[in-house]
Amino acid sequence: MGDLPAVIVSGIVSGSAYALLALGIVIIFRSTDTVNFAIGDIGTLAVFMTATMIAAGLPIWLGLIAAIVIAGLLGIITERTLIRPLGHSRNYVFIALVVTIGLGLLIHAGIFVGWGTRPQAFPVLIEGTVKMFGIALTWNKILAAGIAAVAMIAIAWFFKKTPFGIAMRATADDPVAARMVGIDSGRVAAIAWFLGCGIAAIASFFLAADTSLNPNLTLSPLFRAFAGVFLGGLTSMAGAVIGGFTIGVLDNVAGRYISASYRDTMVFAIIVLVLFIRPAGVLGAGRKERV
Amino acid sequence: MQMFAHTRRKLIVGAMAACGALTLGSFPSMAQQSPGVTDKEIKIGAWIPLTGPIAVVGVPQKAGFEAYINMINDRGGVSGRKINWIVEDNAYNPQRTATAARKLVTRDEVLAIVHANGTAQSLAAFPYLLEESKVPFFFAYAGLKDWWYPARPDLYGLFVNLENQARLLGRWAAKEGAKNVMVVHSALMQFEVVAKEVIPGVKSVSQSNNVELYAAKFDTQDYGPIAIDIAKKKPDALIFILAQPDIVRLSKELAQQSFKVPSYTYAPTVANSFIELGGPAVQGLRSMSLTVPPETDNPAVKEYKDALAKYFPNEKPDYISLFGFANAKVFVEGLRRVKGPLTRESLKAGIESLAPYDSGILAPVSFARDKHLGMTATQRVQISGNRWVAVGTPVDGDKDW
Amino acid sequence: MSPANMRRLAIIIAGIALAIVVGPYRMVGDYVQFIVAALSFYFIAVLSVNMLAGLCGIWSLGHTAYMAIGAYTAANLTKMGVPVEVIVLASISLSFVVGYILGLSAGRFSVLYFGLLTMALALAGTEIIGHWTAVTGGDDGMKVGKAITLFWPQPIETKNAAMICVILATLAYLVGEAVTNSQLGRRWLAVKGQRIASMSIGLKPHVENATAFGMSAAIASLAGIGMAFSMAYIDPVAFSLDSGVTLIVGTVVGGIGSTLGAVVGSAFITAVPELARDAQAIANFVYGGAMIAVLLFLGEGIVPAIRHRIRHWKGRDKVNTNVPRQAVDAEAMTKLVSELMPPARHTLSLNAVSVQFSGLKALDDVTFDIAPGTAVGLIGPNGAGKTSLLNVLSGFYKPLASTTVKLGDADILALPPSGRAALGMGRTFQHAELFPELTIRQMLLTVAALGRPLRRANQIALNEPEAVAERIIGGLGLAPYADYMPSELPFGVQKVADIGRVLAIGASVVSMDEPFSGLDEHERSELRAILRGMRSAGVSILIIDHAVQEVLSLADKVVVLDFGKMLATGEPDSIRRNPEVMKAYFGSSHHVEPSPEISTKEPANG
Repeated sequence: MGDLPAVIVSGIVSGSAYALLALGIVIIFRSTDTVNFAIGDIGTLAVFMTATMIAAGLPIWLGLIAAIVIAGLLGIITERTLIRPLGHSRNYVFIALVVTIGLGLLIHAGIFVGWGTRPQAFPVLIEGTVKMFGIALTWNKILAAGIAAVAMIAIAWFFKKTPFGIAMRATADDPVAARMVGIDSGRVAAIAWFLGCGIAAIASFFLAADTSLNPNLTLSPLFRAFAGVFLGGLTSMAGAVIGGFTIGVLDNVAGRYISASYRDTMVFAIIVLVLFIRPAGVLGAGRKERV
Repeated sequence: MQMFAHTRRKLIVGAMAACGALTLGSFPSMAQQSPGVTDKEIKIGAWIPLTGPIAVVGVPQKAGFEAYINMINDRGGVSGRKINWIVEDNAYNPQRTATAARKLVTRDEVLAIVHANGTAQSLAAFPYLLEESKVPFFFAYAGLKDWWYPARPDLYGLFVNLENQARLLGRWAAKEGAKNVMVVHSALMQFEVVAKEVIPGVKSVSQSNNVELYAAKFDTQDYGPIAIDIAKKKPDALIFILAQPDIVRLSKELAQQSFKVPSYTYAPTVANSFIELGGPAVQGLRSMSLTVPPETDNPAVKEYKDALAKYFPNEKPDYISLFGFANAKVFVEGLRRVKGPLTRESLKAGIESLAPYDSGILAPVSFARDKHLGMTATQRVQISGNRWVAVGTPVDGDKDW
Repeated sequence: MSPANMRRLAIIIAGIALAIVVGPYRMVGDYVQFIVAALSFYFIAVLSVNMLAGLCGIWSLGHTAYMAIGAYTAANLTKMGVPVEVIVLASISLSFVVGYILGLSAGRFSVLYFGLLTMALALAGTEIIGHWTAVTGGDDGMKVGKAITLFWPQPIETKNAAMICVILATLAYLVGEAVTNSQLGRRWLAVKGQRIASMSIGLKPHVENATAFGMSAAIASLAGIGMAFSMAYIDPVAFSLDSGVTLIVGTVVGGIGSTLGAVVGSAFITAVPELARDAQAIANFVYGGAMIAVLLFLGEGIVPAIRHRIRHWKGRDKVNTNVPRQAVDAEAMTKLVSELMPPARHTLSLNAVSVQFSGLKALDDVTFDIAPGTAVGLIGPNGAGKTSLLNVLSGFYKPLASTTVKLGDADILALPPSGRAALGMGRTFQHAELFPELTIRQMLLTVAALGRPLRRANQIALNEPEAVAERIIGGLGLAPYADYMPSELPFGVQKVADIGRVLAIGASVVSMDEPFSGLDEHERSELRAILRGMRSAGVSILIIDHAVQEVLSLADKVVVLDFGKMLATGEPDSIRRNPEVMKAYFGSSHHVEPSPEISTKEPANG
């Protein structure tokens, strides 16, 4: 048990990707009632496009910004062309989910045609490692965690302090009232999808640098992100972030002390238990629960 | 009643249209002499993972084999017949492989299965392929010991069986001085069976050596905690019985923990693309190759490079495609030696007459009536800089070299 | 033979014929056998998802878990030499039980959450399969032996297993059709459309959902059996999320709630990968594209969309509103009611009814009786607590512990909402709340069938559901509208149909929430006649309405609520003259004179 701090640190660092994806899922769900299963694929596609630009000479840090912007724009296009036209039918929430599953299949096929399925090496922003709690961490992972933290703080600030962010939260809490005071729901949706998909691209970018760039990059992180979302409750942004980190730590602890081949089992078991026992989330509830 | 007749008719018409469209494909368009053979064409098939985590191996494997076939076809084929190699994507999934086998045998009516990929995957197709349909299966990119001893009537191989490789790795590690060897393997049965064969290899040097088996889920993304765990246990040598992408991820995590001991892995890992993906983390990794290095300067390898450049300009010369190329070369040589009409039986006889045959790429190949694994020797290699370099001379894992 | 039976017979004959064609007589090639097998087991699986979504509004992303139960049961029992027939029974029983238990909680969650829950369970399921090596062969999968059957001397070869798949598919088709066109399917549609109204006619939504989920799971397990025998090899990937998504693709593309939709959907998911085998990416392009296109442009899927078009072309979707109305015949109404509703035998007594919402008292100590065969009117301004009281009676609000509500000796509050219908309590709704996916006739049939025990207990001669429905349709002048969905009908007709629902259940104590709102003059006089008919038939009535004049002229007794408290109670005449009532209700102490304007105003929620 002596290496517990090391395992926890390593878990937090891995958890930053889950937390980012979870946060993206929640931002989009709060604004448009859509559980976006394609969020990871949108981020991955953006990173593939960026990789091509980096190979053509774009500096890596500009690549990160490009990935965020591309994913954000893809998000806006998705919301405009696929989600909004669904209107608000009875089963809207579920239909929107199915549409994003379809979009995920399309993007996957698109990546296959454009780049093939073989993993590609992807550059890191900063080389090297640092020692912490007796374990070594790469700068890439630390930077990922750092940028994740900055992104989360920026988003918290956006929603807490800027008038438009406050308006967006209001829209999520009470759409009718928001419309009455003149908040443009279309703009709210666009910004939410931009932010959500943009931060998913951050997660994809660092995941790719960590190992390699491949079409299934976000597949297993996305399930961990969902586990985090359920832990925190579908509507709570803070809950999603904390949930994502918690899953990262639990996953690492389970991998280290229980079994390296039972880790997914644990993650799915957590999801099932939380959904059954506390569908509103364990880590505190958002105000608007649509269980 | 009218309504009912209406929908019923629609149903039947639809079903007939669907069946019709699908049956058309299964009727051979030309006079067929034996399954898959016409005057102009020889149809053979394979399943290879072209998507999913093992596509890293599948894509170059297909390119290498196909490059040779294309080259032969452009030269006029074998006895005037062009070879049509039909590849199904099995995504490294056993059930999809079983389906692929049925499609190849029943819809395409192939003469034989040649150079398909995957051990457990191919096993899933065996009952249908070998027992029910008796279609010969040549040169899988896979194989366990019990595929060859005793020889099965329709199964022929060039891939040094994985247990043999594992035993060799164990012996190699122990001969280099390791006393506590850890074998990290994927938690799938096909990996576990192979991983266990490291033990006799290590013990063959000294009975007092220790071997620990460590299972990790296949296609694990985050090897962080596993690397920390391994670093704590401090083995003197690591043997990876894992898929390529898993080895890359684990090696990177181990390098991060500054844990560096002699590490070994088996042939499916040997590829230049592996060095690209693994970077500094995989420097010094030892493995074994089934072919000469693609940098070798001989006519056979030159032919390979030319063909690859011509037919697959995006594929860089590499071990896996070279192995695929060599498999095609051995198969075509067997095809050339067929006497009389080409049938499944005469093809098997043609292959069995290769004794010995030197492809210039593989160690000399030799088959016999009761010896269906044509090759048992492998070349040890090690990553140095941006390439795999040979270590010593070819060795046979079954023997105590 | 009825058309329905003809249809069934034809399906059986077609199924047997196809089974023989793909069977062991080598009438078609291996490949056709294989395609027919795949088509069959995908059809079964898509049907199971389709039925659940269409009839219950429950979307399962995890039905592959039940396929897995079928497949692994088949693989393991075959090893022990168990015949297919026993395997089928074993795996449908097992899947039904597992599905039933999961289905019980479907009502607790939204469609979205339950969908995610089923998905998570399926993912957990593949993990279990991966680790439970002894039974499943783990991630590497396991071989499936040849099927043994009681009706064939030798074991069935893998390729001939197409025969088994076809027979199972025929079975599933019959079950699917039977459920869709039966009382069971109509009950599920009622629960799906109007959970609350379905409870008022005695349905228990969680039990209906659980039964549906269990049956759907049992059907899905048949797909697993077919798959196991015709593939001869099974592994967890076959039951992964990807496969679950494929089933959703088939369901969405074909169209929900339609057996034919399941045929189209399964043909789609079988044909696309077959036709696109040379380009792996194409299948995903087509799947993803088709899913999005169908949801965006057809909404309900191919088959239902075509049906709607046909209905539209034939002009069947327009209701002829120029139906000449029959004159209201009070006598006929009385006769109708007395033929269907038994007289009330017990007093409904409400004692100290109090309801509290986060500290706020919505009802405070309300006490009154409804004697058998009398009509009590409940009036009061907006927010007086009228609807709260009705919700206490129906069982949707839980009052404070001091409250008692009894019908004779029976403690009403101890019963769930669905249990109150069995005592003869019925209600109508302010907004009619008809079941949106049942025609008026189907609704009346369904409810009449549920009302059977009640009518039998009260010795009512007219008891066959079909006869009851016909009688109501005729008696209430609903004949021109009987075969339309509620959404296609004018509101007034819907309200009349809602009253038809109370007639069909055979209630003897009826609560009516704003029965007069939204009705035109003709419908009002009809309603008056019905209410008078109920009274003379001895039915107890509680009317809540803003149409004060109507209430005062119909009721034997009136209760006036204000801010949750009882302001006054008494005969209509005394209420008319009560100054306090005037003040609370109209802000002045004028007498309430008959004035039609007040009563025609469409009130807001009371």
